[in-house]
Amino acid sequence: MFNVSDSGATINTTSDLKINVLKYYVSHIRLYSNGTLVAQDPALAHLIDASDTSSSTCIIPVHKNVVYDEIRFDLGIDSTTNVSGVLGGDLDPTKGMYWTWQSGYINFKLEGNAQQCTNSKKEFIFHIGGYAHPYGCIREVSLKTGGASKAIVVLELKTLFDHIQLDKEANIMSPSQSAVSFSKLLQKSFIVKEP
Amino acid sequence: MKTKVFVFLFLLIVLAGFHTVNDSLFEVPKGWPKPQHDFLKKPLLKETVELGRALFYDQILSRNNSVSCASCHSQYTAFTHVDHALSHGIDDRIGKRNSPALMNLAWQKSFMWDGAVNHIEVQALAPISNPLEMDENISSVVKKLNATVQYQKLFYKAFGDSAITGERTLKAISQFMLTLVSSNSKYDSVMRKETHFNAQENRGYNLFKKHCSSCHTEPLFTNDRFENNGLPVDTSLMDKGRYAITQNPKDSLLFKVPTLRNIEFSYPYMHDGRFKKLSDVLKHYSNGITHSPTLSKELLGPIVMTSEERVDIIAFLLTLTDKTFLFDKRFSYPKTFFSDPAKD
Ligand code: HEC
Ligand code: HEC
Repeated sequence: MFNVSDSGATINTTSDLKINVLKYYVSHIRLYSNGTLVAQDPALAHLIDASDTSSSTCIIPVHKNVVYDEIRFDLGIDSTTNVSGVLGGDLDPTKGMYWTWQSGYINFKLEGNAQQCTNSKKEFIFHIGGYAHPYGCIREVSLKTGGASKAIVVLELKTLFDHIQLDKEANIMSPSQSAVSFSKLLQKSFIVKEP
Repeated sequence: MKTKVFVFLFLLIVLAGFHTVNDSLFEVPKGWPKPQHDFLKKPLLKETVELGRALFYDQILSRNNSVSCASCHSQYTAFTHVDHALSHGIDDRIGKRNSPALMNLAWQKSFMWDGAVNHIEVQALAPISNPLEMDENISSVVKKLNATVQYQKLFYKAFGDSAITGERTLKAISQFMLTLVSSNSKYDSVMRKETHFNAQENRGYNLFKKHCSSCHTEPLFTNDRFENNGLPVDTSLMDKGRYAITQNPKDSLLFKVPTLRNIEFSYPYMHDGRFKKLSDVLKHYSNGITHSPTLSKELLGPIVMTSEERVDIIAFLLTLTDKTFLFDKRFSYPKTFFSDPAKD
């Protein structure tokens, strides 16, 4: 249900922006009706990878007759999971979403090239993560929906790129204040589409 | 009424009884505190420990198969790097810190001199990925292990199927490291009332309790905290310790208090290996303390020690040598594994 195809593949048709990596964790997907929790995702987390469309579907089991009007999920991995040792599946460190020099999951990875970048390779690298105070980067996203059985959650990279200044900051690779600000922008960059 | 997505997920737990939970793999020595590691949630299994031991000694974990964990953590020196101030890694690259001795890790909350690692199960990722140490990545390690018949067998024994994953590889290495318990030094025999300190060791013990044990707290000889023990900053390394992790100025120049068990063999000393001998360390504490805003309060007033007293403390520190540990066959290079022809 998480659709990244329009962001990963088509946005980069403009010659001055190219995206090479877009990967992020979505966890604790919950469905609400009038503010009351009606269903939640049993999985610990899902790794959404723009280069692998099969990764973008999350199925939430619900009871018959359940209606909902809101989707909430966490963008990233919570602190409990971050201190629980090594985990498997989408959370296996071979997925490349775990820092090695310091413990902790990378919640969100975005890498590419853009003309605005001032470094010689015209490259940007955003590895957003961090679970410990004061640089906690997990963000709850909450989206109102019409309650269809299939919802497409879209990460609008345009919203994100409208707010970051690649000429000023093209690299974030550790837990920091910049990472926190970035994670807050991401939080606002999701929309829901119902087919 | 709309129809909703209606999916049932089944979690099938098969208790196949393939492994052996063996209590003797890890015991809390009498009178010691409760370990930090949760052995109920994450129990040690004999087969997993064996797998971890093979991995610990195997150069397969490095990019060009030249360096193993044991290259920098050798058993005879309490699993530290013999004689090197800064550790030497792949292609003779020199690291940024001294490799710590490895023992009693089950009691540690965090790992590395600055606490960068929050759980023993993820610790091995750091040396595997560090370009100055093994310069490899865990995905490639998993590929190499998958191509080795003997590892397929060991993973099968340890996990009930031969799937080799990053999770399992790291878990196995950590299980082996958790078994490294050193608790059989002369000091321990004295505490168990099996023997006595001689007069000098006894004087040293009393001085130690007075000057040192607030940080190097018995029985682990560390309080498992970060402290600034007054070392002047090495301006070429500019290592600020814990500050790199928290970016909190209060953590500047704080390093993990290391255990002093087997200290006789784990030279050179300190995070950068700046002191070769214990007498240098004692000189530091008696007249080398550098004052800075984060200096630990225990060291604000000078520690007054005569040279005889310093020698007495060293005599006591030598009672922390645990020969059983240094020569324990369970922790040594697994010869039978590496001589199996299926290994190559
Ligand atoms: C090139 C030398 C080198 C190699 C190879 C190496 N280490 Fe280390 N090890 C070190 C150094 C140096 C440190 C301290 C690092 C720091 O504080 O940043 C360390 C720290 C550790 C610690 C933390 C101990 C503590 O008390 O906090 C553990 C555990 C450890 N290593 C296990 C391993 C394992 C397992 C491997 C193999 C996968 C390995 N090491 C490979 C040099 C090495
Ligand atoms: C305020 C806490 C504190 C006190 C008190 C203290 N130490 Fe330390 N000790 C440390 C810290 C922290 C380190 C590691 C420092 C570093 O490497 O940057 C250390 C390191 C050492 C080492 C080197 C260990 C190794 O593996 O490299 C020895 C030996 C040592 N201390 C002995 C002593 C003795 C003996 C005393 C008493 C005279 C003492 N310490 C008092 C905090 C303390």
